[in-house]
Amino acid sequence: MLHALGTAVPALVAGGCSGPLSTLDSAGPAARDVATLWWAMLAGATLLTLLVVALLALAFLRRARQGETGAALWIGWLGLAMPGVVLLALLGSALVLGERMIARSEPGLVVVEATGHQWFWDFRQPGAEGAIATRDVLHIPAGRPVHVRIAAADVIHGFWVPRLAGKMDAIPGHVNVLRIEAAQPGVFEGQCAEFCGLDHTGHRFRVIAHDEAGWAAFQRGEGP
Amino acid sequence: MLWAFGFSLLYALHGIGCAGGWDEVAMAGATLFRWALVGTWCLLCLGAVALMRRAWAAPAGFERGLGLVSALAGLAAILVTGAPVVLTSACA
Repeated sequence: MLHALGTAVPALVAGGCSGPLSTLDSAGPAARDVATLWWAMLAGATLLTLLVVALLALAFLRRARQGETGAALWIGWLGLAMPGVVLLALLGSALVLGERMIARSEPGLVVVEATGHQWFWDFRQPGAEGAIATRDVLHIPAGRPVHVRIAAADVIHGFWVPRLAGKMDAIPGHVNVLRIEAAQPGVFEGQCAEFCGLDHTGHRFRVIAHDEAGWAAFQRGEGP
Repeated sequence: MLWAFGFSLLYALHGIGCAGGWDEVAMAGATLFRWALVGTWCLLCLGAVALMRRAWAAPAGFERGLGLVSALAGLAAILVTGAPVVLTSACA
């Protein structure tokens, strides 16, 4: 049993570091920022866990002297100062990353539309002769920022391509804008990230990032 | 109480300001949106300081200590959670 656990747990943990829906296997600047913050939080959480375990062990090994409570150390430094510093650092980095991810106009920007339905996605991409509509497959150019205008036709859905960016809710009657970018051409899996009914699990889609020639061909209607 | 009220107020003003286009109204070197939020945050901070002074003036005892610590926690919470209104982007 222990042997099986010893094999299965590292395999499961390592399995989360890559794969089509892994946020840690980032393939664009926004997803890379999210993954960096995640690694920093994991490192911090590991250090704090080790500290707590060490203190717990110390409590068994060493008895307090008569009248020694250490209230200032436990409540002041470890209870207030340390969490305060950690939370402020996290807040600061989240604000900086958030500013970097905000969907702003810039040269080379491509705007596409995504509409969530029970249980499929409709996409509209700019083409040479007007918008090109696709279902469950979103086409984007690689190496360029893309603003996805996200909406929903029925209930709230969640647009999420873990390797390209964070999540954004798709809300009926409201348009949210998410900035995504694929550093290299490729195929990226997407998943509805908000429970949207019985077939939520199967509410998947795919993002195809084209190179320059492929994107031009897609816009001319010669896409795959 | 003051923090909860203030945070909700800032949240509401953010939504109303963005929907109303306050971030496009130039005003005294910034925008109407920025001034509305920063001004509200400053007022909330002053309110928290006033509560601290009131707690400070209370008769000595357990209640005074409790009031002071609560007021200090409220002031810190307002300072930290409201500070982003000064620097972060207004409406994406």
